[in-house]
Amino acid sequence: MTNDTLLHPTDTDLLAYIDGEVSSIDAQRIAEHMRTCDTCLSTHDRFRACSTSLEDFVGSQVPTAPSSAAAVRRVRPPRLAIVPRDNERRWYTRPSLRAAIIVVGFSAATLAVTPVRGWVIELFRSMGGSAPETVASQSLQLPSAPPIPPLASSSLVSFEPHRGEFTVDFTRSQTRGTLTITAVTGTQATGRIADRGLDDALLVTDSGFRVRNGETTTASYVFGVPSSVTEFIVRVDNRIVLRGTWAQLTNRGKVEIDFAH
Amino acid sequence: MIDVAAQFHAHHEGLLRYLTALTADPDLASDAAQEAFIRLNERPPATSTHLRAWLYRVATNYVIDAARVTARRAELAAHNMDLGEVASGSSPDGELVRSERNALVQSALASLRPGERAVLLMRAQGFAYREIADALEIPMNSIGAIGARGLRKLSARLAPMEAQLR
Repeated sequence: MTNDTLLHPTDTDLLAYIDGEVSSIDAQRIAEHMRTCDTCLSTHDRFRACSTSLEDFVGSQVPTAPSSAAAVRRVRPPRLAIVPRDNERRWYTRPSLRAAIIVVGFSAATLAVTPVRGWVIELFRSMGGSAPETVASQSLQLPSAPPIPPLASSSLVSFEPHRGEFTVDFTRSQTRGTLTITAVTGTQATGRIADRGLDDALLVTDSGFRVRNGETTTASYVFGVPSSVTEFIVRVDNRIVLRGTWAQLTNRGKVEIDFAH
Repeated sequence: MIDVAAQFHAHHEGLLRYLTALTADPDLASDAAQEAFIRLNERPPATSTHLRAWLYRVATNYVIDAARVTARRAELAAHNMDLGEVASGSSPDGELVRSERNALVQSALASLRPGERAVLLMRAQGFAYREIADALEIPMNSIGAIGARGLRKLSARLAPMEAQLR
């Protein structure tokens, strides 16, 4: 600000004065000027009132506040939501077909990603209120750096070797599902649960999860109206360790993945 | 290493308020906020200083790109209010007056250029000029001029409308 313009500060000067973005000397000069200049004082007051209205306005924009670490920031309704009717029994819920899918899926995964080493996948399912039963586990040999296998239509899990253990619990109804990750690793890792819809949008939980050495961390992902075309992804240290489609989840199940240390 | 969860808790709500005010489109605002945090997780900035400004920049650019791609102007048009009814009807309670005033502000914001709007909304959230300049990637010495221009336009539109509300 030059001495000439201080006689009448510009609107820019007045705004900077209001925002505390002027030096203390210039602030003092502007304040002294406004004691004797109604025009500049009026502009100053108008700017202040307008600023207050803006602050109130922004403060009134109420976003969907995230809750705790388990919050979902937003659920995007899938474009082709397929919600089973109450009395409809989808083909993949039939026990015989489901068993066949599991066998085919494991066989395909084994053939596609051999040799694999050092991890055991156990798939539990519970029917209704009965306790989960261990389905036949399979020890596979992991190569040192296997590629991420593509998501086969019948495969619940695709994986990449990582240190640690992760347990995934899931529950699902027609309108709501919950995926819970319990992780214990031998080292630090950062994970994230995401959901990918038809338009390839990724929904990201606010927390992901972070595991520290020896500790157990639980992160939950709650989603609405699961769709048969929506894929869920669990990443650890930004690598996909678990993925599948919601349609492949039955009412309740459990996946344990024990990675090589 | 950036603690994305901590940054989310610190900045998400404010960012979403800013984006909602900027776009008047909750879905677009949510998309933009989401994009900012996804980017922070997947392609974080080289330095962790000025992260708030970085998040606002990513989100603001997303909004600008979205508008360009979809050829859609954020629908910040004035709510068609019959101010005569407000003036002559029964006395509105505090909540109604507040929502009407917010509608006026939103309508007035629509008359601003995107840059003016962004500067004023960030300023309303307590951003310093340096942060605004960093977020919007414009020279710091332009912030005052852009803000003053926007406020002049805003106050010119708000004054007569607010007078009718009284």
